[in-house]
Amino acid sequence: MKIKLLKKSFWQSMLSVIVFGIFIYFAIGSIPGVNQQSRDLGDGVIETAKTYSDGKTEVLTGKHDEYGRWHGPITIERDDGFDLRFTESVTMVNGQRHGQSVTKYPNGSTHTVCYNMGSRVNCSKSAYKMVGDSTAFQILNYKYPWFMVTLNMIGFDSEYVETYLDTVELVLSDYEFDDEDFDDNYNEVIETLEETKYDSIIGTNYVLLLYRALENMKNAEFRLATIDYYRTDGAGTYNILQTKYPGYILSMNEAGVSNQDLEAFCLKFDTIIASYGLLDLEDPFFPDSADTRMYRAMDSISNSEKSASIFDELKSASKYSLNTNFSNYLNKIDPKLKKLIADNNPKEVATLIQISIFEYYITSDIMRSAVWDAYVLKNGVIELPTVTTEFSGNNSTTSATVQGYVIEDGNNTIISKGIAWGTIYNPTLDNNVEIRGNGTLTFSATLEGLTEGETYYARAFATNSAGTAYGNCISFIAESASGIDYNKIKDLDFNIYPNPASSTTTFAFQNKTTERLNLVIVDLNGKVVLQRELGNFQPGKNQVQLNLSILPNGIYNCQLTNNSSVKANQKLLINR
Amino acid sequence: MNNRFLHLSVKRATVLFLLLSFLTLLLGGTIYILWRPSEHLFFSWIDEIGFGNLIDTIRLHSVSSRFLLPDFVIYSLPNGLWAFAYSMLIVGIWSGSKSKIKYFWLATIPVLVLGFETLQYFEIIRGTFSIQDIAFGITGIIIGIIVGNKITKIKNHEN
Repeated sequence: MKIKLLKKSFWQSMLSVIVFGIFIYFAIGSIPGVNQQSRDLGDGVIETAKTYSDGKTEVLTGKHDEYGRWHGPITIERDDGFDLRFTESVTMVNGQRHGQSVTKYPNGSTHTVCYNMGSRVNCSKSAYKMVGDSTAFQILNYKYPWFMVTLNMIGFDSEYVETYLDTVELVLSDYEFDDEDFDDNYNEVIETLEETKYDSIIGTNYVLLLYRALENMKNAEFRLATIDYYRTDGAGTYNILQTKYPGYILSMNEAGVSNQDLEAFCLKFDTIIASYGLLDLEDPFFPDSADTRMYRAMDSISNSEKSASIFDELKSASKYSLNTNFSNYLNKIDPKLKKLIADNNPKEVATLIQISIFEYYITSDIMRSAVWDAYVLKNGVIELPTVTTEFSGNNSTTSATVQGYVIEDGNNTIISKGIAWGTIYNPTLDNNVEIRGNGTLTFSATLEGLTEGETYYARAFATNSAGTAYGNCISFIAESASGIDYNKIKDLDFNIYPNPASSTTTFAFQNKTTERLNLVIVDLNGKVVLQRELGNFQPGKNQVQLNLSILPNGIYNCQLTNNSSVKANQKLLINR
Repeated sequence: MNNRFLHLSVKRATVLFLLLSFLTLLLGGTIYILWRPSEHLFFSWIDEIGFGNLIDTIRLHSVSSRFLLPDFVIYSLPNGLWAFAYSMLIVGIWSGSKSKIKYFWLATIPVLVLGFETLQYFEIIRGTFSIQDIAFGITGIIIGIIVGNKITKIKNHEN
């Protein structure tokens, strides 16, 4: 009897173990995957931790701009899980490295490089020319040293990375092809090498690509318009595109979508977005929530069957070029894919918009970029130049100065360069243009005839035989600066962002001595509308955030004062 | 006749056990697959067995229905369903047993169901600690024990 009971207990235990095991399996599966988590540290500071594998982490700490992009001084700590930490201090603008980057290594040594909107530049900002026989590794190491640090941290030492890239170039050289075939052949090479010992670096690159792409996709104009939609009470997405991003509408027109079709899509999109309810605009992760809703709304409009097949096509990444714009890219895609998006009903427009955002994904592959650059140099392929824009400052209420930098000449002579500017985002040569000759030297343009209080946008451009390329779009208010450039803060330089502001606003300054500072905000009638003691500040870069929702729309003068004098002032526009 | 009826009742009870637990697990798993963020490890497992594209397509079809469901259905109900299934199964396996090992296994019910929430609270594992999840878990445990006992009473009564 006892043996019978023991036998029964044994089988009951075995069954329990199986059930327990199944539930542990489900419970582990429900743990969020090891990738990225963000949290608000307070005072607008965000910490984003990325975990790659085996405990290796990368932690970014800093602030986001109003569109959720890293902006301002950022600290990046890379930990390989064995107390090996690389710490990079860099400034970012629109999620791109911009300005000086200082990386501190575990042995205490430091390395300083300079970036201009994600591209490495000489710290003197002069254009750098790669030599014709530069390898992909040399280009990667020079242009993207932060990426090399990450690879090293993950466990791929420089020698290994060099061997891998040399192998890619070697196998690629077996193909005889035009630059138009580069992407197809590159993909084939990677597929081949995935069967070799290089499968781990290839797999890691896909993950790194995804993280970079997620940041880059934040610059997609439709996405910016969606975030503006939440901030603009009553304005529809199409109205926002018309007034602020008309260049995007033009690009959709070039892709075959009429204004009427785009407007019909936007109406449907707005209805779905509105059904999701309001978002808390003060939530530091509000742009991320807006992103999720945007993608879900587009998914629900798309024909799921068709969009799934389109994304299968895109995921295989077989048909794109690094050296083209969106409409050219669309022209290169598979004809059957084009047929899927020919109808321009809301479903098809949704798919096209998703493709336009996906374009940021496919240009985020740094290894591919390095191999392409090496190929271009070796084969004398002419590319579009790379240009960046920087706001120098307001000269008066009707005049401002903008600077442009030719980072790369695209392997060909720059025949024209200058600044395109206007009152719409991403101005082009069809808007106001200040031409500043040719060549690769840094240039600047003084923009005249501005209207005080108006928001303006500007982009540097450069033209070679491949065409005209534009730099990043900066915005400013006549007599006010928007965005932030910490490279220009000196003494008690004072910057306010975002500007125009609506509620939570950052006041950033750099002081040379320890001092107690106050903020005084005065309206155009000279009346003090807000006065706040900010506190005692150590020398260096400082910033405070204030909620200005009590102030009505209008133009204000913000003054930083100590007990005896005004140390700095800036104009602020509040516009809700 | 009585023996045949008894045999059928015991069989029915066993089938009921298995069916209930399978269905609750299926329901909880379906909620995860359809509406939870795809960063969960489930999805890497699904990818590895080659069903990634199929699941992606299903998720695309179901995304718009997500906003018809209250949040607790997506984020807390699966926890309750699994707690229910596990409790019911353990109670069912050990019903009528006089072995002391039975208490060890009964103790795993709250440990498993509430343990993950505790680890999330202390940030030992990833995830969001939620009182609502705990509430659903406890409810699932209670209902699972009650249902488990009720079903096993059929077997014990007939015995």
